[in-house]
Amino acid sequence: MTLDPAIVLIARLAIGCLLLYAATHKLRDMLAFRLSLGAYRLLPETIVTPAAYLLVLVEILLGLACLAMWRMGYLGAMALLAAYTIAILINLSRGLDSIDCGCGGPPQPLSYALVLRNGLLLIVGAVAASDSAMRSLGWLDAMIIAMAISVLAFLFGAANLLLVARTRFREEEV
Amino acid sequence: MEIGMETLIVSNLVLWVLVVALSFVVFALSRQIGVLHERIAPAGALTLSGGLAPGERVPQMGLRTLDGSSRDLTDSARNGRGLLLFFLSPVCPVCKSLLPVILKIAREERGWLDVVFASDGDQRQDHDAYVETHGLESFPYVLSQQLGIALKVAKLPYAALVEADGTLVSKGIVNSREHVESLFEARRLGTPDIDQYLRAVHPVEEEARASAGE
Repeated sequence: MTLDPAIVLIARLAIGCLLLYAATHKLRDMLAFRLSLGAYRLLPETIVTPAAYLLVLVEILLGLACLAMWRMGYLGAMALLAAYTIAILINLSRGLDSIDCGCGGPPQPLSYALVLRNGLLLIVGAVAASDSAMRSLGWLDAMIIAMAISVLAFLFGAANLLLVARTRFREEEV
Repeated sequence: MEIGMETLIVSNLVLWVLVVALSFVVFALSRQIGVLHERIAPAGALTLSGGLAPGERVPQMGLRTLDGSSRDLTDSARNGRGLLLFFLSPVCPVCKSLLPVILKIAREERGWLDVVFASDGDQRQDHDAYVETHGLESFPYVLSQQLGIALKVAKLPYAALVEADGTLVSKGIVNSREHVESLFEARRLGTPDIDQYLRAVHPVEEEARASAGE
């Protein structure tokens, strides 16, 4: 599919920034990430720790690849997001929804809202991976791209905060 | 009708700036919802009945800390000190978010209060790593199922406050700073839980609410 280059560029930069942001969040509290990865109960215990470091490394490399406009980066990012989402779905179907999602940031249990969030991110990934039409970009495009990315960042942050607040409500109703 | 290209560009830019501002406001509002929600959460720790009751003396119970020394549940009382037991698990996100609150209380009340972290499970290395990451080395950290059963710890994070004379002041599930503080408030007011205190102070309102069918 061929899209306007400005739109493709917005998606590419946004996915790159998202991956790097996620990686730094995990690095800041590696123990929490290792424990949540273990709590997903999908990997044998012995490889949870190396897998956690590997995932962070992959996130950083994919993030850099996305910012460098490598197509592999977007496909890899979508595969990683899809893998995370499947892991969440498996545990939701097991009823293991009280574990921390390991998304970094404030603790947040698993929920279908997270699946929806990842679905929306996958759409952004698909836009990033599509071909862009030929058109020269001017200063106006540059400004629009910068502002669109800040809007996406604010909305992503707001969605996460609302998810955390929502699960708090759920906790207290129990 | 002729609209200049410049007008369209300016209009587009102005709209973008407004969209950025609006999304920032949405972000800030979402943050406020989180903060507000913490503030208006029920003020008292939720106490489920069962286990050791407030006012009862805590039993003697030999415990082993992570660093290998042994410690009895009544040690603090023997030294004339109060005891705050904080039950946690390395995989419990809310426990982690409460650690700064517990550490602050430990600092402020060190004149009379011991703080002991309690958990269970056999993943020793997880607990060791947790202690190291969160700087809990200076506190006793015990692994005991028996202790959890004695206090009927059903959900985490859970906290119990023991008076210097060895009697249980209050205990309950704690999800916020206010919940933890309510245990100390219970000690100050001399009543095992804040809900009970409120009922005693405002019986009329309670009756009115009850008759309103709430």
